[in-house]
Amino acid sequence: MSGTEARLERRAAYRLLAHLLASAEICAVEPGYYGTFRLLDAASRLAGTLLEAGLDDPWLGRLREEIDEKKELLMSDREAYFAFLPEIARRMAERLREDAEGRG
Amino acid sequence: MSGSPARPPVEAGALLQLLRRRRVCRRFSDHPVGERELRMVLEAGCWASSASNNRIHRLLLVRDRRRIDLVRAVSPGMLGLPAALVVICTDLDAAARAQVRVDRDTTTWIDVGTMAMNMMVEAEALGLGTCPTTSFSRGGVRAVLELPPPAVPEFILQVGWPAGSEPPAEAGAPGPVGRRLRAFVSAERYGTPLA
Repeated sequence: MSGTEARLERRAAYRLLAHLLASAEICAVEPGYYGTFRLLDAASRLAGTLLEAGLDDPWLGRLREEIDEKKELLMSDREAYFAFLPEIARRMAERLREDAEGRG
Repeated sequence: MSGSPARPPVEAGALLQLLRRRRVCRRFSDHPVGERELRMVLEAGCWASSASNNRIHRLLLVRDRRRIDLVRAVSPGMLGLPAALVVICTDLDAAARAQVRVDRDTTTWIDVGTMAMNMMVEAEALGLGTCPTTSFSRGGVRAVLELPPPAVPEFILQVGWPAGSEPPAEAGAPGPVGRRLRAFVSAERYGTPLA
């Protein structure tokens, strides 16, 4: 297994699935905008799981740290939080393109 | 004029200061929380006001790291990994005995809140961090904690030392498991008394 791959164990996958399914359940009763927070948090957990599973990707580690730091803006600075959502999505897309072009 | 002697005053200003400074804690250290501190937090919950003194709620203390991890997996509202959880459950058997209509009686929710607040304030006084959690899958928590059918999880309080803080060196001996703790608190498994 190279550093560009991660071997996800069943237990780790189950944990992520449990989180996503529980999020789906509570999104039905929470304010709609909280869904964005649940997805951000799930993205962070997925990144963390992949890194723990052996993926050698410092960029992803930094992305996860930034998500963990900025997701809490929802509770303190909602304007900054909502500005962060398109910003992080754009950067992920750029990374995806670079990776597809073999520049990752 | 005769009457009961006045109760000794509590430092009202100090209490207000405590209430002012309490904040939600989302990052916890790995230090375990001592038995003494946990019992004080739990007892504070047990002394909360209760509508008509019905006392239909029970507290389940969870310290087993594996079980905390399982609860976290089904609780998106749990962002950190605390040393302990206190799950406030409605006990449907107790509610039936008290003839409380849990589907209609909103005071049951107020009682969950007063228990939670008492515990958070006591924890703050001890220097502990807490985070209230209501964003969790009810069915998921019931499943991972193997709660019996009459126990309905309503609220999870995360308890731990805040990240970056050091617990007090002198922990002190835990207080005795008094009548209230025996009556309302379980440890690890619902129905297992606090030892």
